[in-house]
Amino acid sequence: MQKILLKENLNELIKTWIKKYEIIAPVKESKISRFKKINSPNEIYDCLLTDIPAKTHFMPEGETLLEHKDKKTIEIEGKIKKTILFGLRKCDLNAIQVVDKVMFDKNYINKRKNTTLVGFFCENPDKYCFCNSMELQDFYDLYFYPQGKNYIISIGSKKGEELVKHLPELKKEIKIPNPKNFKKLNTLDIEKYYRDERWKADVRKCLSCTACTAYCPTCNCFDIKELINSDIKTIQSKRFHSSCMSKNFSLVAGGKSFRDSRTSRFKHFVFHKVLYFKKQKGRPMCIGCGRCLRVCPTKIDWVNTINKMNRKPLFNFSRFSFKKLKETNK
Amino acid sequence: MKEKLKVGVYGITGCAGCLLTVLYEECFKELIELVDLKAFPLVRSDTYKGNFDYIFIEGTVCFDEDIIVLNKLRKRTKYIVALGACSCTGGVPTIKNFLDQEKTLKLVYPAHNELKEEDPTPINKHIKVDYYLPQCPPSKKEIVSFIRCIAKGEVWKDYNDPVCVECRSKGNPCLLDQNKICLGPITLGGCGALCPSNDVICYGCRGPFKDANLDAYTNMLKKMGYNKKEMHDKMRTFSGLQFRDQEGGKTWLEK
Ligand code: SF4
Ligand code: SF4
Ligand code: SF4
Ligand code: SF4
Ligand code: SF4
Repeated sequence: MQKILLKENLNELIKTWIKKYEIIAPVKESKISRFKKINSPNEIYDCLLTDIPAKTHFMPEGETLLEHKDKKTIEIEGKIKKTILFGLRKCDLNAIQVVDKVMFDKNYINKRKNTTLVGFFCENPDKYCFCNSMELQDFYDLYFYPQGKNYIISIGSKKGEELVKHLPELKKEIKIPNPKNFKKLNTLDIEKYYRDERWKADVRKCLSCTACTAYCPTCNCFDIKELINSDIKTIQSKRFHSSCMSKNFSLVAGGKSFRDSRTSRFKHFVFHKVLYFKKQKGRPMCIGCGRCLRVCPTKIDWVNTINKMNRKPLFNFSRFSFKKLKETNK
Repeated sequence: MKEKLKVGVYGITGCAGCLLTVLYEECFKELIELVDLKAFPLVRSDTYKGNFDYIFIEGTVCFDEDIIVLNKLRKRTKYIVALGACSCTGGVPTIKNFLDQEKTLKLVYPAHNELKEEDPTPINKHIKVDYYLPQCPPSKKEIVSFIRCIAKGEVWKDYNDPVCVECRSKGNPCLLDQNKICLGPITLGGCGALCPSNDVICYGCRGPFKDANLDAYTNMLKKMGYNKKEMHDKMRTFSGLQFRDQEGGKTWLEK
């Protein structure tokens, strides 16, 4: 079902929502845009994509998951008020769908249940967006598509319908197009490129700073730290963002790290995003938002690297000596 | 109840800033409640003659006497904890290693030419160090968790990621984007990215991050329009010796 709303009435609509819901929307503060609670529609920052993705709403840094006391453990439930996550893009929405497939703790699920997702069509994608290459699906509670003076609002769920009950229905449904893309990932079938020498150039530039994974809306890896309270009896387990770009990530007891080399870590990032997740869950993990490319301090562009390999595959593999292969794979 | 750990807090050549940090209410409370603070020359005049479980040491080795003190303390304790940047990586005094030593001594101490100076070095160049609590001044939070950890008998885990990790997780805007030399990508974190969170570049006070990609970092700064000297100037503020070694031990003398 689709509904219709005059553009100039959007603010009014948001104001009616604010009375009943908590609204989390893009805002810009101290030079960086992120999703945050707003009290009036004027606070919303109109941008293509927030720098920091919406995952921080579901998994805020350092939230308490468990509390241990007197040999008992309590699971903390992430109770939140009814919330609207407003101003998501198609890629952001798909990112939430991806993360839904892997997060199962009470904390996450409770927050997710109480959140309604409201998306907006992208009119001006930038040179980093490559969402159309990543098999995106229609996933939203509400999705706004601008057309002339109006917004066409597609309804994706009961939760979404609730928000726009009073609006007039559109008689003839229209098909919402994909956003325009200037960038493309030429292939998702990258298994054969694992041993390609050309990763090296990217790895040489990588600082292992983990910015790409911190800003990626689908990266959900975390570390749990046990913090001891002052009575040294109660302990809290808190969740912190963690990243496969760091050596620590695969560190096990005894001091062995399974991905000791930067090369193996970098490749794991790319391959998890494009290939491994797809093998397990049927769709790529990367949803093509391009945040990792925008944020990388040394401007590594792995999409471009894959495209290069795709255009000109390394010919005649057998001619590489075993030693050389080992080096690339280090 | 288990007997409390015997702890001492000492300083060699340093500014006493780390010792003062320990005196903040948060830390001091833990020190007197969770462990048995046997000696702390800065605030206690009595002299304890026995042995310790843990000794915290502040300061850099700058004079021959410092080495004597260190060796004596090492013999009296099970574990040595290096407290603060000076103790862990040498800190600000190590800048002297990169300058003309004689000139510097005359400039700073014109009247004391009887001083027997050493090249400023961190304490682990002279004695075995078991734990490090770096940073200038050290983080109260870290001191508190360390004391709780040893009091409970848990294993202490060093933080082992660059400053950027916490900085990005906190959602700070990156200072490199503003074309500033931030040492975050090559510096050991654990401070909660204190400086970048307050819009100041990281000066590397927690020492180098072991797995740092210095080549990539240098190349990035070159592209930003900086030269080696500008970079080294920043790097030697707190941890010049370690950064120099990590870069391949080339000389960094100012000429
Ligand atoms: S890997 Fe990059 S482009 Fe893909 S979802 Fe993550 S941040 Fe976006
Ligand atoms: S990646 Fe696609 S959905 Fe995301 S902002 Fe760009 S155009 Fe929009
Ligand atoms: S943001 Fe760039 S430099 Fe930093 S870890 Fe990711 S790929 Fe490496
Ligand atoms: S501001 Fe500094 S510490 Fe923070 S992300 Fe940028 S380089 Fe790293
Ligand atoms: S950000 Fe850098 S200089 Fe500041 S406290 Fe942390 S390690 Fe030290």
